[in-house]
Amino acid sequence: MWSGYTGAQRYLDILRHLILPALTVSFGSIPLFFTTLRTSLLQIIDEDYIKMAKVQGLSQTHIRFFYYWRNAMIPVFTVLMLDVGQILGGSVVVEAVFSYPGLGRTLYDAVLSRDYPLMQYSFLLIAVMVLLSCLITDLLYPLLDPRVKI
Amino acid sequence: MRSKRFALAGAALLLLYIITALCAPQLSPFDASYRTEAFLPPGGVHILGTNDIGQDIFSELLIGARVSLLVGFVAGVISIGLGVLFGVTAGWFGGALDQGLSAVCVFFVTLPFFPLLIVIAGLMRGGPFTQAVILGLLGWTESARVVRAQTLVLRSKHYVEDIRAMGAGNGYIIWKYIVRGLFPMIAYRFILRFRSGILAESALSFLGLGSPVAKSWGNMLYYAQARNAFVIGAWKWWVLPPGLALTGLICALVMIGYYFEEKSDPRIAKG
Repeated sequence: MWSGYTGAQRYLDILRHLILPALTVSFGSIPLFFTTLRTSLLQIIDEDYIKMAKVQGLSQTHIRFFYYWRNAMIPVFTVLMLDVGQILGGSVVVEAVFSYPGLGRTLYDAVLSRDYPLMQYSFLLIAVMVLLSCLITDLLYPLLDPRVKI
Repeated sequence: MRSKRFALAGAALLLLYIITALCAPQLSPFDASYRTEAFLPPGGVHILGTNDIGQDIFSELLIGARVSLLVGFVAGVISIGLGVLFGVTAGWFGGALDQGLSAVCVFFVTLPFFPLLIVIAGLMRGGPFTQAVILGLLGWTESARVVRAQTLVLRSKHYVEDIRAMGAGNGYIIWKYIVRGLFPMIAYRFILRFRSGILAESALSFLGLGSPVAKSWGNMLYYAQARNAFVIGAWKWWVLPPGLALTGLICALVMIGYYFEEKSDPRIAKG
């Protein structure tokens, strides 16, 4: 759209310009997931069903994937979906720094040029995206954790 | 205990920042009104060179500590004050009041915080103090939720029921048992809001949404970015020092915060 490239070249161009901003935003949230996963694993490690699985003689990989990972993922998933709001917020700064033409940049430009309607609507759009991500979390929850019913 | 040593180191670092902020006019070699040649590299009397309008960057850096600490502190006090007030009220009294307050909290927790902050800051266009008040008014809901949950736990404790049976009034129990019992958590939440207040202020100033004349680290970064410090190679003395100063302050607060977090939640200490 902005580069004049078409087809595969255009997608490569978009990807190339996405790398640095995406990495910057990701680095900001990695520690959050690290600590969440750590606490959630520490809680699981003493559970009886893990001991039972070991006693049953299940392989280390099997236990890792179907016992640790499966159960530790639930809080991480919640944090991930709640973090979408934070990520969108943080991406305003990142988009401003990298001059990336996204929603955050639109919001930022609107604030600087005192374009109040644009400001309100870009904020509304961000808010709707966050709310949708919350809704998706709620809908996906039963898949991750069968004990939860909507 | 390791976290205690950490917290002491953090407190020492924080004290250093506070002293710098308080004595900034005495410590800084040049006044804000002093101007010389612009874009000077470090050396001679200007330890970190000069900025785009010929002010001494080192003096700017020292003065900038004031804004960060002030904004963080005021934002922390307001959001924790409101958070504790509403959280304890909702948790202790329950009923329709609790439901109403919880609904407000859920509403604010789902809203994307920073974009909302940008919109409000864009509308208000105030100095650091206005920013701090906005941050405080937007930041209390999360603390209120946590305080409410903990109040519910404390309310069902036997000693609280006992003291109630002895005829103690609501105000007495709330002040003597609930708020005191929650103190480590309140301190932790305060440090957390202090930290996010500092970060939000510098992010807003960096975007150019703060007061253009206020001397803050975020503003320094904004002007460095706007005047192409990266292109002319000035980032080593124009971008790094405020960035490192901010990082140091945040680290100090995180170190203190861990101590209170451990105190408020014994489960973490085990892990």
